Amino acid sequence: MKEAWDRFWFTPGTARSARAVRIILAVQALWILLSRPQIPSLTSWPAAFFPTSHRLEYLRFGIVPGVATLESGLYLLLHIALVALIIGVFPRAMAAVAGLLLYHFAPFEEIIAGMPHTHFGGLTVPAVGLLIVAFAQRPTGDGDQRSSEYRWPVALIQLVFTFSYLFAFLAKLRFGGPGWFTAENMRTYALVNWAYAQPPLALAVARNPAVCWLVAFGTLVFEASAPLAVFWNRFRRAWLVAALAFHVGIVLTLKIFFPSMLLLLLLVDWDAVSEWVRPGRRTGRESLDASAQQSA
Amino acid sequence: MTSVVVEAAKFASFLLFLALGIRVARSKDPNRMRTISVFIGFVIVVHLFSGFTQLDNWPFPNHAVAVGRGHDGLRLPRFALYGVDAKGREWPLDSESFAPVFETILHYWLTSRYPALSPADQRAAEVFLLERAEAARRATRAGKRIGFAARIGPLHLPYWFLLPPVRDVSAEPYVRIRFYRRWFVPREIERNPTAFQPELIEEWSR
Repeated sequence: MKEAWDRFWFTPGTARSARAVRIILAVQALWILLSRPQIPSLTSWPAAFFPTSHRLEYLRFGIVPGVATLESGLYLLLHIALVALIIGVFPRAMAAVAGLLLYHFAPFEEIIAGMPHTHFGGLTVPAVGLLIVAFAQRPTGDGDQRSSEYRWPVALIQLVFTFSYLFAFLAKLRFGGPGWFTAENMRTYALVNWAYAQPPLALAVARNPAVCWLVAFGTLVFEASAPLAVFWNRFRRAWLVAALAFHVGIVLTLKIFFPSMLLLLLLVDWDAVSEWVRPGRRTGRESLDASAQQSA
Repeated sequence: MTSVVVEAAKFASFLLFLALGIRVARSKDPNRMRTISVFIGFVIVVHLFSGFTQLDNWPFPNHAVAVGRGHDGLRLPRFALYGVDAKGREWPLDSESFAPVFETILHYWLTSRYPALSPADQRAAEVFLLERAEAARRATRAGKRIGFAARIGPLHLPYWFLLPPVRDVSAEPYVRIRFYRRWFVPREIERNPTAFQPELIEEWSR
């Protein structure tokens, strides 16, 4: 058990993969922040939106009404930290700053209503992931440099990301029961969202029982199997393709967009991408093989 | 008391995450791998606790979304906010009029927390929301971007619920806001997309 644990978490990974994860998390967070410029202004809303009966909720995230100027300053600092992370300036310190400020700001959009689905807003994995980056050793040297220190944070962040799918499956089981995964329920979702937003495929899907069953079964398999993509490389590629189809299908059928779609890049093998882009250039894998042969 | 205990426990779990992470950052051989393993184990366990119990503990959330189960004969509510001009004409409000709070989150607030407020607090909230709706109307009339597109325009990351934008707004100022619950039955909507039965919940004026 210990050997399997150490093999999974501490087999050397490349500096390239560690840097890629840092950059992906920072780009995702920055894109959302630039798309939500009004967030700091929430603390200037009337006190009626911050009743004292819920003050512990606000305090847990450091949210205090009436300090909009301070919040604007912190929001600007968060932008700066994320840009610094993308270009690699003081990455550990900037990751710590960004992670803590994301913990503070991410709840703003929904805090007045008790955060019903803040987890879906796109900043959850960056908040936790950038703090993990801050705790880990900074990758040094070129992209092919290998260390166990570059492996465990990447794998942990990937696993946290796949939890968003696995737990969505568990939530459906918990609140909807096995009957959630039925054609009747898929038809109902399509029609309800047709009432709201008229998605282009909603009626076509709702009127086709076979497609509804396919969607129900596909959702079950896709969400429940998500963590396997972290542990099993061959499965990961198929799961990523399924993820793209899953999210595009949901947009067309329900007009629900997954704000964390960019984070699917966390599961891409960036060493393989590097080999494909620059064929013939030795990667860390080939260097290790060559060294092993010379030693033998 | 329960709320204090729950909030304290949630905050403590985040503090423990930070403490164990700082311990990793400061650790050196020969115990470093063990220290990292303890941290990894905590992150996994705190997430699995939320996932299996479905007790949300953001940033270690339960990821509960779209969990409802029903059938096409159910009578369901859809909430909507309308601005009303001096002539009494109703205009649907854009879902991003109250950014950073999206329309559906405001519906949550209006149906769960607003009713518990004092009359004075309710009045303050109503006046504020009317002013915000009016500001969004003026900006839209002037051709300015509102909501999430305000800073980077079409490059912005949309909200997860892709409701259509409202571009047709009143030329006259809003003097009221109306909050409706619009009942519908999915199988009837399938045949007739206008088959809603509106029920006025609240109406606010200046």
